[in-house]
Amino acid sequence: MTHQTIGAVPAVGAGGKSFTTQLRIAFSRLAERKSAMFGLIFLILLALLAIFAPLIAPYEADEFTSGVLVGPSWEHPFGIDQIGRDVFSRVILGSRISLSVGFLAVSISLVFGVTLGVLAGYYRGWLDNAFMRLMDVVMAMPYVLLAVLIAAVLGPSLQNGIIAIGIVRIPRFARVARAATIATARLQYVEAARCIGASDKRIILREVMPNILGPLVVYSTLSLGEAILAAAVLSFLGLGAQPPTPEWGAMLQEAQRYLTTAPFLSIFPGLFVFVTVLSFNLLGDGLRDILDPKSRG
Amino acid sequence: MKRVLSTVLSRLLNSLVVLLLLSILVFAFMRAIPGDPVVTMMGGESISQEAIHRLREEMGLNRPYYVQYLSWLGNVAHGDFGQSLQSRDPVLPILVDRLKATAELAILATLLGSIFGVVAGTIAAIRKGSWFDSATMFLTLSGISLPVFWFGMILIVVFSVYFNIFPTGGMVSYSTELTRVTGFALLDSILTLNREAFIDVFSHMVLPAVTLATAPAALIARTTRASVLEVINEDYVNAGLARGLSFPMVVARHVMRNALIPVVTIIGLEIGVYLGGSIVTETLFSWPGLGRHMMQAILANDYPVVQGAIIIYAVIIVFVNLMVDISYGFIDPRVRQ
Amino acid sequence: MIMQTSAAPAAATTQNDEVLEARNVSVSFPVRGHSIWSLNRGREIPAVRAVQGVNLSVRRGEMVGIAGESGCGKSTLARTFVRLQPATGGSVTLSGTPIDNLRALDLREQVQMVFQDPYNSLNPRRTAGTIIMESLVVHNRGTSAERRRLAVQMLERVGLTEAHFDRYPHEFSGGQRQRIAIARALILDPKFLVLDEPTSALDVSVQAKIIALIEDLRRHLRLGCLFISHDLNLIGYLVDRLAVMYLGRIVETGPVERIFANPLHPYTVALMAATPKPVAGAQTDRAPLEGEIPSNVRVPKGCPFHTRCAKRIGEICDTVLPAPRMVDDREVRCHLYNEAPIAPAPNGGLA
Repeated sequence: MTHQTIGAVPAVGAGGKSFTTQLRIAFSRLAERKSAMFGLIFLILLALLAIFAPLIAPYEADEFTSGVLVGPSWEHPFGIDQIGRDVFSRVILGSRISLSVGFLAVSISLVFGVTLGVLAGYYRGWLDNAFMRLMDVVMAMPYVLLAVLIAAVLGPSLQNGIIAIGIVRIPRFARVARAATIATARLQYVEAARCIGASDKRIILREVMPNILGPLVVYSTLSLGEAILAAAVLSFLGLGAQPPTPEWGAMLQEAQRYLTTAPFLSIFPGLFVFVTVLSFNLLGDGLRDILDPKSRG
Repeated sequence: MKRVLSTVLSRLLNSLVVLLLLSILVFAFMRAIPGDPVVTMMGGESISQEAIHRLREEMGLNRPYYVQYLSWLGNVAHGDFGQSLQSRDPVLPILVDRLKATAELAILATLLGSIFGVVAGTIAAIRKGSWFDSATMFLTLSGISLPVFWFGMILIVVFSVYFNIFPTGGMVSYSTELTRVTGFALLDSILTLNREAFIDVFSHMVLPAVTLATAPAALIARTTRASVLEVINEDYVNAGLARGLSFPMVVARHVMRNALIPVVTIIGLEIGVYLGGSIVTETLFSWPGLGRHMMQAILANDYPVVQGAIIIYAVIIVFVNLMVDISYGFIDPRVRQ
Repeated sequence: MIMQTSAAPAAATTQNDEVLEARNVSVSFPVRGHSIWSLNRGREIPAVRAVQGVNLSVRRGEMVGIAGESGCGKSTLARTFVRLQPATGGSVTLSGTPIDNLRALDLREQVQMVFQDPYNSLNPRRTAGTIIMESLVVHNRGTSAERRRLAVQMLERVGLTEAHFDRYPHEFSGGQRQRIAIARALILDPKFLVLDEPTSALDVSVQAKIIALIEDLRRHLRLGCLFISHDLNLIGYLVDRLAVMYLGRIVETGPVERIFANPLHPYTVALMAATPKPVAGAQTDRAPLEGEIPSNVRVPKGCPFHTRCAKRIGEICDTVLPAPRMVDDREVRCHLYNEAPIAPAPNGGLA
């Protein structure tokens, strides 16, 4: 019997490599991209910061120190805000909030979006049609507008902000899931699986899901950045986190009034938002490069 | 031709359906906002239940929802968007006024963003691999990740506070006088040959416009770069070069026309982003536009104003998408078949 | 359990009752994108009529072939037999019971399919052994040790070895993959096997071996096989009965030697003339095929072949669909044979 092997390195996910080997390959490819690594490193640092925030922050979020509206100094690297709180501590503690907001919002989008997308993509029919139309409608509106509306309806609070952001992202996740589902359902070995009697549930879990993972990972990473940004925007507008919560966007909203007198209040929270979102985008782009079929061998 | 007409009609029908659905959604949303607008209107004081009830009757808030919706829809069709719950003024005229201000800002932002984006993207593509290219890629990636309002704040801090070139907010300074002709401040200043006013308004517009244009400009630059790169490698470009045309000529004639197709699409679709971003930018710069007005209305539970604003937004977005869709069929002959 | 039966068949009576049958089966796919405009003009929505009014039966133990050019609907028809494609008209029955009424798992235990493309019909992420065992897992048969044993047995039955159990599809050749596909289908011990051009993607030398395997298995397991192919030579060699398909309809059916010796339908004649190496004993009538296959969307009225038929009689061919006639213990749909008696309804079964 002849023994053939496909030459060249098999793409991630194909062939008979174990999961850990695939991970290692993926990671080494990722490491080649400096920008993505920068993003990853920063995010790891940020995560550590968030986890150990209470230990790192010298002051409490609402603790009053001496002085008001004092610029950066050794004791207070980011300055003191208008009520007398240490900005540095607030920014660090705010990292917890931002990261949790991001993860929670994306989780909502993920769970609902993927469910809807997979069902629509697998069963097709009128459900799929109606569903796609609806998603198109929702996606036509700018997400800021939508998030603002939903948050407005639900009432200004951090939880509602999370829900709003989560809901707004659902259509995009659904699309990604649906496209991957349709592509998988077309594969002949999936048809063969159905032929031997595999139930829909089995096919979805064992064939469709693994195929969605790649695009989902990429999209989730990018969405995390966008969610954190959206949360900041909502808080800035007064709809998300409410003061005195040390959320970065809320801090910027308070800083608005003191632009002329205390500009330093605006710089740091926003800088953190920026670099966080940038990191997620860099990482997501890098992941997309390695997981996207286009770059496969 | 028939095929084109049928596509246009079906898209139009689609858009109308979308608008109708949106109007229902908006209506439902607004009714779902917690907080009784009547109480807000009355200043939140403790008023007798009768007074509240009477006021609700007067405003028709006690009728069943679908009746309210239909009568509202009918009014909208006639241009009557109701009255603001806060000021009792008719909604539509205010919104239109505000819309003009937003439009001015958006137009300036679009121009800035598109021109800048296209030029930067093209140069980056032509000089692929150069420092310019890398710098552009990095800047554009930052641009997409940038929190718009923060960037605006930085701009204010640098240019307004520190350098004192531009004002920090608003549309016109107190001292400037401007006669109202069309409602578009910049246009009016030109029409009335009011040089001071023109400079004044323009200087107020610069920072918000730049802020608003940043993210779209980044996206446009990226898209242009990718598109030009794609086209530049195609055979008909080499054919042009082989025929002896100089490189700039080839770029101008052949490359741009084809490369610009996806770019135009993006520019069109970015209108939505401008509208969304304008909410934040206007709030930051106190620019008297639709976005800021809507935000204030939301926080005050002023239904009619919010409804009206959303409808206006929706119509604009749907309309723009429709235009982009249709024009795409004309621009790109490949799609037309 | 796979049993190596001897050549002697089991009691004939039970097996003669087992019939996989298509009764007046049609499959149409609506064409998208035209609905709104067509509705406005009162036209009916155009559809791709892939299969129309097909009557075909397979008995346990016999090999029935479906021949035709690409696009004639053979693959779609094949899929209706395994319920991978729902019939939009008529029904497929198994020993009289419509397969739609059977539980999925019951059906799958009786009818299985081998697909055309050996490269895509196996999951690249699973080993050969896992692929074969999956059939058993899905049907909840046996413990994992028993399943493994059966799978290895099956591997050997199709000409592979236990060493191949843990290899991945990309490590096999095309012919070997088809063997795995056959193993996967047969491990459930079905009574009927539908084979959709199983050797078309393989080299000629490999084809012969796979065909030999199929024939061997068929005899030993008393399988009722439906063999789809566009290769007349192959079909002539392999099958007992043949159905010739054109544009969604069966135009001629009957014992394969008789058809080859004396093709009745003009399309069959032309097909055989177009086949490079004529089968020994066949008559080649010089009636070449002209023109192109009409689209499946606007199926011509009347006889589907009238646009290209060299023996076209007249207007009747353009307007009236020929009824199936019995000529010479075969069924033909052609106006040339309008003298012959009408073929009996499907329930009677074919000879």
